[in-house]
Amino acid sequence: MAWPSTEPIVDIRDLSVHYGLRGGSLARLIGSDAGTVKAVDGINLTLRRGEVVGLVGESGSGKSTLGRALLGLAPATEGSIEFEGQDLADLSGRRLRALRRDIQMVFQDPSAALNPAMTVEEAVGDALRVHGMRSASERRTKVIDALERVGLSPVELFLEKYPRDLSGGQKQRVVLARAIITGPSVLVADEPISMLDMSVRAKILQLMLDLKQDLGLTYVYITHDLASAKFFCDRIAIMYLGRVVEIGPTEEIFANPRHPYTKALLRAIPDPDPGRQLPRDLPRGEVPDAASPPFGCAFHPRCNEATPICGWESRDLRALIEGHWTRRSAEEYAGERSIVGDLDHLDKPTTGATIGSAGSAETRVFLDRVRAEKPDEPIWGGIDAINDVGSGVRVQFREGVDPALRRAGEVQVACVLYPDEPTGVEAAESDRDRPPPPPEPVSAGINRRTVGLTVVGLIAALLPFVAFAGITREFVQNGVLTSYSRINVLGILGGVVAFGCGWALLTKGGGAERAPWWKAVGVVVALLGVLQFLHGSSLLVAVSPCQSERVDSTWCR
Amino acid sequence: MSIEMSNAMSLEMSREPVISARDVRVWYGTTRGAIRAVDGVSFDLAPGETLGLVGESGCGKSTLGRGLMGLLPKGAKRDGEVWFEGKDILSMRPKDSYRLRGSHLGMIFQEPLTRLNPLMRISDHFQESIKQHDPSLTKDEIKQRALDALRLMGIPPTRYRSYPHEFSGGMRQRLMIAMALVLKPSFVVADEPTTALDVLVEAQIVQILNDLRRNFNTSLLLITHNVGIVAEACDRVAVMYAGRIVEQGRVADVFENPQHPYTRELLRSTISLRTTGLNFIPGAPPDLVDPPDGCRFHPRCPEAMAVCATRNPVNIERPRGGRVECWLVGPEDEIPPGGKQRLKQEELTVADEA
Ligand SMILES: Nc1ncnc2c1ncn2[C@@H]1O[C@H](COP(=O)(O)OP(=O)(O)OP(=O)(O)O)[C@@H](O)[C@H]1O
Ligand SMILES: Nc1ncnc2c1ncn2[C@@H]1O[C@H](COP(=O)(O)OP(=O)(O)OP(=O)(O)O)[C@@H](O)[C@H]1O
Ligand code: SF4
Ligand SMILES: [Mg+2]
Ligand SMILES: [Mg+2]
Repeated sequence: MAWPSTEPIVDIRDLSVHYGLRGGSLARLIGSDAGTVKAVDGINLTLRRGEVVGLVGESGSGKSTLGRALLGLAPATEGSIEFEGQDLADLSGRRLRALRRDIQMVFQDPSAALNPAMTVEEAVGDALRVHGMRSASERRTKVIDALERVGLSPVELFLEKYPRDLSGGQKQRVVLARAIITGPSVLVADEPISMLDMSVRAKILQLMLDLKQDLGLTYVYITHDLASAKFFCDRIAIMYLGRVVEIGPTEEIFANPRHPYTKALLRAIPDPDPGRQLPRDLPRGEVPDAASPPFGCAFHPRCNEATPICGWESRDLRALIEGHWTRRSAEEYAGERSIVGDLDHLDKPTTGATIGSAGSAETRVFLDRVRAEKPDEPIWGGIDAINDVGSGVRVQFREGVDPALRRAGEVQVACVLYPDEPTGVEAAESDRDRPPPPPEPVSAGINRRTVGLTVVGLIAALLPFVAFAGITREFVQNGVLTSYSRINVLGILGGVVAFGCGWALLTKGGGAERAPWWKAVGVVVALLGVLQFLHGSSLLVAVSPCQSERVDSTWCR
Repeated sequence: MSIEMSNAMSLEMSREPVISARDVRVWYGTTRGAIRAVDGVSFDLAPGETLGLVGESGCGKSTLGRGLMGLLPKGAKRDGEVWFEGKDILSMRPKDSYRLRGSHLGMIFQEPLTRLNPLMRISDHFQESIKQHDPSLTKDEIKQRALDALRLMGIPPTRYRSYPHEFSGGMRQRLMIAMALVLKPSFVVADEPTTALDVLVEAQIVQILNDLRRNFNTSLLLITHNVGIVAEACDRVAVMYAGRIVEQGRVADVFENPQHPYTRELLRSTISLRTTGLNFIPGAPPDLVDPPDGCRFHPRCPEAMAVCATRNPVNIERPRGGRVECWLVGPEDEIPPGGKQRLKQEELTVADEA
């Protein structure tokens, strides 16, 4: 299919949408934020007028976020979106509202998209009212026209109906009528048929094709269903964890899938053809946690073509060992478990994973057994060295590569298996493979926390010595007033805080590589805290500057 | 393929069916009248066989699945016979049918999270459900059985003491399957078990269900919207329309050579990788309080004849095995004179759409 046109209508450049995950406020104070989700992570995409671009991928791949960003509903962290040459970020107020008329969105669940208290006429006409059309009769004419276009005829039968009186397909038609009534040029359809019954899906898809024809629309079609995308789209972008991993003309994607993820998706589509064999080599596991994506290529833990440089790390080791245990007998499992001990710490991603609790030699034997069972697992190639440490071993993984989108034939692919030199314009614009990412997010966050803890701890321990807020208290000894001191409220508080910081430093400071000096710093801060507490509560009279001999010391007034 | 098929056929003939439904009916009482959600359904299921149940939304698939298990809501009435190990489940006392569920009958639902108690560890879930049905087992035996079932579903023993929320969607569904299978029931109903899952995870679960007969020799009634899944995971298929099974037979037979126009149209309207044009069935399934006379599909059927609008089609043997009820297939001698005349269809609009 030739492109409907080459004129770009929407231009997305290096777009990122990151969401901060909420941690506690204290956690934020000391710098240990809960991380961010890179819902959309550096995406380039140009929509040409009149084409249908499919965004396909599993849950959490960022399809909806990208779609919402097009409408200005998801704030761009980085990058830009241009609509007909205008940067969305530069628009404000009225201009932005005008843009909303040009780009419209249809959502997956038509029941949730419609206000149950509004009739069809109100729901569809509401967009016009919002955009300033005052005359009710004018609105009604437009509503009737829109309803006719989406096939809801005879219109009189539907105008006064409420969503609860409509079937799923009819509701989705109403939603479409509401979207087209403002005369948009781009329609973002987010899983418009996923919630509908099989037999209704084809009807709605046909309607969308008709609308495109009649109104000259450009579509972004978001779906996880490759079969409908194949029929409906001119171009397809396969997404995984916030990135586009393969993009190109639909025919080429289906005739010649390149990225292992694309291939997997294609294999997984259930097909009514009774002659077809069940696919046997499906990717294992599920989409990983977006807040802490895998190192290297985000798809590597599930990829069956992965290479030694795809980003192997501790979590992969855990999955491997646990997979091994699903194939052991209970006794074998108990024995092996006692050799390697707990695996929970492997969830903290690192390229240097320490395991084993019953001796290095035993742990090596165990690893050899795991390896013998599945010698072809690509993770083995990703191990640089296995060194003895303590009562176990440290498995050192190779630094991974995070592949950038690069041209491969008619498409672009982000996979180390397609290292072709970038030639096309778009490919040249995309970054080189990013350098191995691991240390940056993990240890940076934790070092920040360590420094934060130290600073807060020291201030808490030392400040009360100079700042004053105390209650005078007399000391009675043998019935004689011999001395008086003060309870320093700040001192007590400071002492507690400092001790807490010191303790945290001792136990959690220094990040993944826990350097001994952080422990020393922790001890010092904690001790200062104890001292300050004792001093503040006047229990430490000896050290207190407010001793009986020095009653008139300025320190105590 | 042909060897496989004749094998399976002889299997079916040589062995007693595990479950045998005869003229099962289920109504829901409403103010408008009774909704006849299941209206005269009969089928047999051989040991280790998987029967796919497909049809449009609202045609009674879930009602049939629950009805077989005796899991109907209050206000629902049922009739007919469901024979299981020489006993009729439908005429059992509730206590007996409860005992049967879990140990001999299992059910897998679409939303695993709503079926698991968030405050209970997986180990407790297993303890509780196994204890109820087999109080003679010791704690260690229970653990052993649970771990075996989990292992088969690819869930490592390290996760035995976790809570439901610590699992991903696909793992939870595998967990539900493990719980349904731990007592090795001989018959399981799975109601849209993959609908809420990601594409790749769905394929994994379909594979697991497909392996069931090998691992457990369990008979499965798999309810789904997805004819692709039926083709991949089922031996036989039953196509349901408006409360009745209108065609059933071996999957390959039915899908390659559908006899009932509804089966054919349902397959044609499914969007698959080979779709080059969109087809759909006009109109929507009927209101089950007052379904059309004659063949219930006749208002939507592209080939309806005069007889279809007046007389119930007869349930007859399919030409290549299985059953079908459609006047196009016969029996010839029961069609009245002039009955084969093409029926003039009313125009169906979106107003009748589902
Ligand atoms: N408002 C938000 N705040 C925080 N995180 C968000 C927000 N919206 C989306 N996310 C996260 O961003 C990631 C991408 O989400 P998005 O909804 O775009 O995915 P999707 O591809 O549309 O998935 P689905 O198929 O489930 O609809 C997910 O990990 C999601 O949890
Ligand atoms: N608890 C109930 N009370 C009254 N009517 C019900 C009840 N449950 C289902 N029904 C009705 O019975 C009919 C069959 O419903 P059922 O859920 O069995 O269909 P289904 O084939 O499983 O549909 P779906 O594919 O949407 O799950 C429908 O018309 C439905 O409205
Ligand atoms: S980069 Fe590696 S892990 Fe990612 S898809 Fe390609 S081969 Fe698989
Ligand atoms: Mg989404
Ligand atoms: Mg149902």
